[in-house]
Amino acid sequence: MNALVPFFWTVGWALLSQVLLFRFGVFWGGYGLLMVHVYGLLKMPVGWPPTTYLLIAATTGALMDLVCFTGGVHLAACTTLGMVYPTLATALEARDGMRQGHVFDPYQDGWVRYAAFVAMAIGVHCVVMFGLQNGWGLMGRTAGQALTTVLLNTGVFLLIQGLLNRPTRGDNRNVSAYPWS
Amino acid sequence: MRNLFDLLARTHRWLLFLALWGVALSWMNTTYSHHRTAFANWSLRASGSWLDAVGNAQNWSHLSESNRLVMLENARLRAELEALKEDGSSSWKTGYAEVLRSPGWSGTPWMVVNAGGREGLRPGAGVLSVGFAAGRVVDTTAHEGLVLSLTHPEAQWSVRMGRHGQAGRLVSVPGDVRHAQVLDIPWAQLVLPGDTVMTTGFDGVFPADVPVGFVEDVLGNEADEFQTVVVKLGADYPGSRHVVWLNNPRNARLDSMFHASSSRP
Repeated sequence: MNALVPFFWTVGWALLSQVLLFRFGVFWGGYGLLMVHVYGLLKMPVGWPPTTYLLIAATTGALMDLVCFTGGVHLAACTTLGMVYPTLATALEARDGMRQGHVFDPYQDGWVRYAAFVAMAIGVHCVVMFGLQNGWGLMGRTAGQALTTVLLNTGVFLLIQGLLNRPTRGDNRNVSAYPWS
Repeated sequence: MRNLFDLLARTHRWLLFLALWGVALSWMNTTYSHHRTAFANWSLRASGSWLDAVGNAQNWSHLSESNRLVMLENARLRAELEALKEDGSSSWKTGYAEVLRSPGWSGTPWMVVNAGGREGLRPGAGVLSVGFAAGRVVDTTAHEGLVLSLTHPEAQWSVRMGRHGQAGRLVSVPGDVRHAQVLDIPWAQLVLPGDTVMTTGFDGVFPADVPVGFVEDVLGNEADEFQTVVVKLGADYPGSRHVVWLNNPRNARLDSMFHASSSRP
């Protein structure tokens, strides 16, 4: 139960900030879009039932569509992301595996691994979203938009991690390397 | 019913995924005119394609039956044409038959047709396939006829190059039902690919000037006295379903005369 609170807190502020602020973050003629709400989805802990990922992601996408009047585009993209989320997590787990409830974190998993995880998740989301918007006739534009948006959001998510999710020193102050001492 | 529920339980995640996608697409369909138009175009194309496929299947069944009737009519008309080409003094009798066995199907050089003695078919009659010489009837039952085709390895046929060229012997190419060779054509005879090879009428099976095939290649060298002509046979053994037969009572009289003269000392 304790793990759910920070997750829903993250999803909540990410969704709210995306709706209120970052929805206007459209750069380079539509080739770079901020998707901070996906940051909250990427905080889903490992080990949940796969259907739970699907439902949470679909709910987030539906809320985005309702608020931003985007008519189902976010629902489709987030549903796909929720569907592939367990596979992504499994593909990028460390060699010694992941414990139940593990949340991807650059300070634990490494910045490169976390960046790859973010890039793949954003890539799935972008391909679906831009693909639905552009259609088959504009596959090149879809690929270009997906690529630039992946790069932009990967950088933004790493920045958010560096600014807001730094490990605190105080937690380990009373922990000794020698348990018997 | 229980198995159905088990199946739904096993695939519920995929079903939920598809359902959510369906909701998303229908939502987009009601929101964006571009997507609505694209969906309408797609559904029109899909329904049109399906209707085309169904129509093609129905047309195919109709055309198959029509094709069978047309082939039958074609064979009958060819028989009449062969009869009309002969003058009144000649008494070639013609008829048509359906092919039951063919060299292209069974791998043997024999052809079997569904006409026999009851239909007026006699041993010695010539057989035409799509207007080209195809073989000779060697035996008949009441309703079947056995035809020695041009592809038989031991048969020889009298042919000439064009209507006025040199005559030679047509023999089969073993294992090939589409080609034959003409032997004993002197080099003085100019033979070019595409020339028509015709019957001479000397063997009494076919009247003269019935096409046999077309020259495809010429073999041999200048040191030889004769050239070998490779002929692409006009008779379509693997594909032809109907043939025309030609019979002349004079052939029987000539054959009996030959046999009578050969028995004398």
